[in-house]
Amino acid sequence: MIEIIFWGRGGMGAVTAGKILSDAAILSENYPHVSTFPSFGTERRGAPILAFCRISDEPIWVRSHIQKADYAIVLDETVFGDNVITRIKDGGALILNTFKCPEDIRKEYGIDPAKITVVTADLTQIAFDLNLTNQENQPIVNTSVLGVLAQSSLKINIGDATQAIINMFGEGQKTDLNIKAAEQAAKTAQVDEVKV
Amino acid sequence: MPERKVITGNHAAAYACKSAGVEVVAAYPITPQSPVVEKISEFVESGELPNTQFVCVESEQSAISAVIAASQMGCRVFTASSANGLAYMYELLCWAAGSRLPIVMCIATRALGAPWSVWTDHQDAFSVRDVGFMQQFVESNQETYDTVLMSYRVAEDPRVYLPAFVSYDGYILSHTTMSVQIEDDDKVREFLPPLKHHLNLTDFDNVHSVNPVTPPGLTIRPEGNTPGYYEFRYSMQKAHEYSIEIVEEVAKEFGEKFGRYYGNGIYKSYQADDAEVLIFAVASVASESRGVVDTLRNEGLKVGLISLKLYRPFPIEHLRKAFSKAKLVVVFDRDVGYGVEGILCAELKTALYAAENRPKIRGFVVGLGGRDITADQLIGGVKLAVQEQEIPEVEKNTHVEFIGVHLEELGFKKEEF
Repeated sequence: MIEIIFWGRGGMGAVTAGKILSDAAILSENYPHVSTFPSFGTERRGAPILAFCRISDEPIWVRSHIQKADYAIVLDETVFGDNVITRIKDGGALILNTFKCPEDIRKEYGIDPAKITVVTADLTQIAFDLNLTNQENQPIVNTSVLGVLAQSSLKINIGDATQAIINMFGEGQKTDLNIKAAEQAAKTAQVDEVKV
Repeated sequence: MPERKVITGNHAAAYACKSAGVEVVAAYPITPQSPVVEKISEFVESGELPNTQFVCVESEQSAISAVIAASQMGCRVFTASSANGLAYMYELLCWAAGSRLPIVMCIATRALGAPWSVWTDHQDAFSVRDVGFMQQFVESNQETYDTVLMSYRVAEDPRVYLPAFVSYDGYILSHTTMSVQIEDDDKVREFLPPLKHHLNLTDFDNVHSVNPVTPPGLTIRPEGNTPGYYEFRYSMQKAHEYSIEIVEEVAKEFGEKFGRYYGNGIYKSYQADDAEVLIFAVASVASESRGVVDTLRNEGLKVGLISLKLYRPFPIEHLRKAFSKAKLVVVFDRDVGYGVEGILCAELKTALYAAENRPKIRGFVVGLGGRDITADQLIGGVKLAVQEQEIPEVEKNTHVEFIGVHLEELGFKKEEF
């Protein structure tokens, strides 16, 4: 069973990202069992939000929050810190939306290269470049992050990710833009050299 | 063709209504139930449920009143609620059961206020245990979908004619996305044929009144005596007793048709055959316990699980059999019978009172108001129960220990607890 936690802020679509990921996991046929849920707060815009996603080739019975994640995905750098780092399993990965490179993040936060793989992608910039924004002109980053995940060691490819995005939003111009962002993110994501 | 969808528990319930071809739906939104009726209203709006009428109402009391009325007209009906909304329905729930209407309704379980909470526990579901509805608990979204279909079959069985609740954990299932197989409509129709109702008030050739004031005694009439309230209620109790068999029969038929079995339809057992210690729980607590069983087995403790599916009627005979070989039963309640102990714990004690080879029973309260229940907490409970099983005082006491209550962090001293 693979455990994934999304960090974001209310309105960014962390919960939706988890749902799209679980659909992509099913489509990949590598993970027929999924369980995805938000941290169940009285969610509101701008507040820090967690979403949990479990995918597995066996039935999933555990219903509690994920304490430590195989993949920690941070959509907004302002909610990132030790609160995230301490919840990544040894051998797990951090995927962070930032303009910085993995090495800088590692140095800044003192992340042990033997324990955590750091992946960064500037999803915010990708969104602005493509004019992929919501009604409040906020960049949309919860779909492009799927592209980064498709490049990770997860057995989910970019085709599964894009199909899951289509399943969620239907065909259309905006959906195409989301897919383009995911592809762009997959291409430009940086993984630190220190591979565990 | 069956279709695999990645959906929440609320949407699984909505799809079950669609598959069942419900004719009238009335509901009032409350967290965490709202998305189930929102989805059904989408189906109606988009034309996917062309023969369904969605009635917008101003309260839960009106919602249940509307489906009672529609059910009396011979329609297959659905509603859903949670916590305080469910409590607001209480009077009419008794009315639905007393009228023997095959209403199926979902409870997305949630803690009852006060203090105000939107998170899950099972207090709301247990609080309506005596209204006369049947009640089943589920562990997954697929089980929600399947159990709604099975509940219609049982409720509409002429040997039963009782309303039924399907209770799934708020948030933990209601808002959790899982993979669910939605069955082909024609195949569902074979399993669940159109409703043949005992009541149809639109049958104007046979006009009769329903539920007039019914005196304590029989009413003696030349054309035949009519029952008193007492006889009506006796027949309701008998229908409950009889329905256990029907639930089992329907679950078996469902399994044969769709390939999915939930134990014997009454309870699901996990590693129970040779278990010396059995965990007894429902819904989310039961599914969390499966991993607990694995962990404790790895440590060499012979632990198993009985996950109760059918809560009302309470399957006493089945439970006596299920627990006949265990030495110790550990009950985890996500509810409290205030002033006594966990409701499930108390009921199991009642059920096993006259059993031969009665095991020791130890109960704990967990996870009220959505407090996260971790495997470690449950493991701690089982280990404590095992450790203290020979202490007579522990066996005799009522069991009201709350696992994971943080009093020390609030500045209380241990001896003040």
